[in-house]
Amino acid sequence: MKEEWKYKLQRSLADYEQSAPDGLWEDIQKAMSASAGVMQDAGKVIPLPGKNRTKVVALRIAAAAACVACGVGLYLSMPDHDKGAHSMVADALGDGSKAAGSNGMQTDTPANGDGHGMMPQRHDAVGKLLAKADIPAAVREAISYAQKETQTEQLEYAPQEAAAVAAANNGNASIEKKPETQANAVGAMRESLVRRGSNASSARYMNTSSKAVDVSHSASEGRLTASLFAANAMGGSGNSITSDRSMFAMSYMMFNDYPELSDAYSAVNTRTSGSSLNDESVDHHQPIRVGLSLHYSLSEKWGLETGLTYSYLYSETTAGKSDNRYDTKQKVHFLGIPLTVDYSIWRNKLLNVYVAGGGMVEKSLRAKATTSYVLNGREMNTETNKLSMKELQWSVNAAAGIQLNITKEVGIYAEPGVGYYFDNGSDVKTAYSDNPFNFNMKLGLRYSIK
Amino acid sequence: MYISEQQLYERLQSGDAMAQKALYAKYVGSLTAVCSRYVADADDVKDVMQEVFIKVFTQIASFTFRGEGSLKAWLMRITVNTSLTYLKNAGRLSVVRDDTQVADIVEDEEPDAEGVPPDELQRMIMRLPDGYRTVLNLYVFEDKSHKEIAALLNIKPTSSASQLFHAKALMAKMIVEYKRTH
Repeated sequence: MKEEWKYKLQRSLADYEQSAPDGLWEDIQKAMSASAGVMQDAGKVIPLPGKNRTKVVALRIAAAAACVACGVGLYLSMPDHDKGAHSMVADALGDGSKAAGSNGMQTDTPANGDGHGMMPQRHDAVGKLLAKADIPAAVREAISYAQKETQTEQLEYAPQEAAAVAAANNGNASIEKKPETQANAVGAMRESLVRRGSNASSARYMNTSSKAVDVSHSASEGRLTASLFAANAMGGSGNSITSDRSMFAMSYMMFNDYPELSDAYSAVNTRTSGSSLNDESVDHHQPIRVGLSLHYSLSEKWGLETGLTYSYLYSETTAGKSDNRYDTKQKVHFLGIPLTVDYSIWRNKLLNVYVAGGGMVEKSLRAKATTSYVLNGREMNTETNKLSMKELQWSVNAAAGIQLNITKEVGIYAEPGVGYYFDNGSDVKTAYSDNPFNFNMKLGLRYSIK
Repeated sequence: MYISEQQLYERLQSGDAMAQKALYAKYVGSLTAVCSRYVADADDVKDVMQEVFIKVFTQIASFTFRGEGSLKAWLMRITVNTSLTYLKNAGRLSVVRDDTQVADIVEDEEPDAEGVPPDELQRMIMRLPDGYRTVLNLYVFEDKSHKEIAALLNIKPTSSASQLFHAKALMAKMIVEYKRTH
């Protein structure tokens, strides 16, 4: 290759960092306070202006498709379509973990220097996983939309960076105009994707919702059940997923992790841009959720469930390198109200196999971030800030479940599911916002009241 | 807390001290590496870096945010420009004007950076004479053409090519020496 030496040298030093000169920060502070006196201490988080709405729209479409998937799942499990439907999600999980296992190594090394080069591999991993997993078509479609979205975003970054250089106060850089037209082309492409997506999913949505209404009319007798559950979502980005289960006091609950799966799926996370990975690593621990729910049987087959959930989301962020960095520990507590519809595929006295789908709204009760700064190798100070997340967090979930009745009243159940968290527009980044697509496992105890 | 470039940018605009600290912590390592590659001398690097951060904190309003990566690109640009201005003002770029014709050079000696640790490469670049180093930096890391470098440093394009040729030869020599001893 022509000038290969140049590119080799460029690559070798692309992410190179050097220790800052001793006392630099102190000198900057002195100079700043001497000249302007503007180093005000602001301990609050200043809210961000509106985000890229296009992206939000695309994500909503993906989520709507997930919702459709749930509907399709229910549709397939109607008596005539009984065959194989009950094992759909279980199959998806089983095959998926195999696929992710074989591709896992490709997906979990984001710090490998060239972040842009990494993306195709991640897409590839998702592609293989999709090919193998027996996932409902609509979910597959949703993922591929999100994937395309990520790809277009990748394309867009390069021209944006080039344009930003032109905006720097240099007066001597010569930048060509070309990038702008590229950005326009990308914009048009994205728009057409969005349009296509909304048509396709809304048509199918109508199909399934009319069926659901039909059935609810025929509901007659009632049966109320209370349930206590715990769940963990296999979300997670960054370099590692660490689980923190100290929240669990209830001894009868067991948890399974599928970190490989969640890594493969974090490829659809549109925020994982290659450029920021070098400077910042975010580690979202697995969200922990406990809850209480009430189930109402509409008929032999159909039921409605609602309740109250508490979720704890913990994340750690490190930016910079050893000598100069900040470490943030973020804790967000959510209270949520779910609403799901379930359909029993097969049941006898001992077992009940069912599918369920629905949505949930969550409100952040408390969110805080503790940041410690290390400058020139010395820990400077630690600040704790209350974060404000006024926005509601909406999500949709589709699951398959199996319940084992221990007595006439009490049963234990396990529900593996797939969920999608909508972008709520908040500037507080959580496992929900960074890994909107997730696999989750809900385990609980159900008590039939009457 | 995940702090995106956009959040940093928004908060810097209001003079948020926490955001200034976060920006410093996040980028000082990369920027010091770039600055050292141009300025080389440790005391000078400190002066230039101080100027860089004061410029960033006081002139953030002149920057237009254009997506993730644009803030870092802007910081890098300011670092390179401030370093160049410093070298110019210190009279350390005058050597670039002494050009030798390179028309008769047939084969360049090319430095092969592969297998050499980054900190070694950085040290080698810092050991180059000011003129060679500046042209090498602009050519390799800023992707500038000789025409652009000539305009930036107020020299002839042939001078830029000649400086780069010498820089490459010296780098190649140092790399060969390093590989021989390691």
